[in-house]
Amino acid sequence: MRGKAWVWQVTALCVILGMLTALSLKTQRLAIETNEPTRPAALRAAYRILKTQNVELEKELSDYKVRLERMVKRPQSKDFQRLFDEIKMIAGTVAVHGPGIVVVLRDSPLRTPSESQEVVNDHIIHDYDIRGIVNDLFVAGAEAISVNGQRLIATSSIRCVGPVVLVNSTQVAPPFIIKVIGKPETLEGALKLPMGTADALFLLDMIEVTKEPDIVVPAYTGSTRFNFIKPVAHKTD
Amino acid sequence: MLWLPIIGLVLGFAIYWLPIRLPPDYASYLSLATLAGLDSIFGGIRAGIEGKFHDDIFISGFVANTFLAALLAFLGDQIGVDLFLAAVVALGGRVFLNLSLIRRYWLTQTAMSRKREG
Repeated sequence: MRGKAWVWQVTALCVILGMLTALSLKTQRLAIETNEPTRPAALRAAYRILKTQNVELEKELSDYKVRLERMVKRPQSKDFQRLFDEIKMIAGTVAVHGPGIVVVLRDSPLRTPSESQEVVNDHIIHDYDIRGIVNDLFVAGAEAISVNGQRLIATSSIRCVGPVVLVNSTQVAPPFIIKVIGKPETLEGALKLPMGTADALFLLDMIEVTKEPDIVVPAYTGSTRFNFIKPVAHKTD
Repeated sequence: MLWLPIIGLVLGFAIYWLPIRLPPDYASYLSLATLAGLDSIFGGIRAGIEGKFHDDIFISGFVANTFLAALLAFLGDQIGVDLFLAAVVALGGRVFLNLSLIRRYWLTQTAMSRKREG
């Protein structure tokens, strides 16, 4: 081969070719490293994969939402249900039944129309009579008490306004029928204590106590709005 | 003398270890330029052996082929058809054609020179 002047041009182009090859290799390696596909076909494939993943994730999300709703509406755990019922019973918002006693308080039948005012006072039931009896019953282990259908809850009040007695700010009229659920013997015994609250009432025939095997105490039907109280934050929640 | 182009290749490849970066979008165009360069080199060698080497044809060939190949790739990306394949097939075919001609010429010349000496 003579006259090989052309070798120089070819060599020059070879240098350029070497550079181009190196750059292509580098760029391709970089693209693979950063997981970025450079060809439209690869991009389309990646897009399809991401779309499928997206559909699967959306389905998972809606499944979780359904499960959450079900858990909130109907608690599955028996322990939770039991605790929930306990809380309702303590709160007095559910009617309950069980063994106990029925106490009837009435104005004394020994009243005479001509007696003096002080004697009349002794012959009628006052709010403090009811309050004292209710307190004695709680001491004796009463678990639910109602006065003339008014369930006593933590914020219940018994007071009199003039001649009228108000329980839970609702007017109640004599005879006052107090339904109590607890151990019947203990409850009766607490009321019949000598020198107890009901002692005078027994003497004046203003009280009657009956033991019952099953009594229904109604639920509290008043307002349960809380205007001031808030739960103290639990650190373990 | 024949090893000069190969040395040139290795020299050019040394750029791989230089911290030069190109945006990955240009990767496809770069590959086509590489193929066009390969075709031009083989064409140049063949022309040189035939004695028909011309500088302007050589350079213009490389530039024009690279340009057309890049244009096809870009157009193909836009319309969603792999048009660059046309460039790959055409350029690749020419590489093999030129290689066979170079081989033929080289073997014939070697045989002839052997005959003369022998």
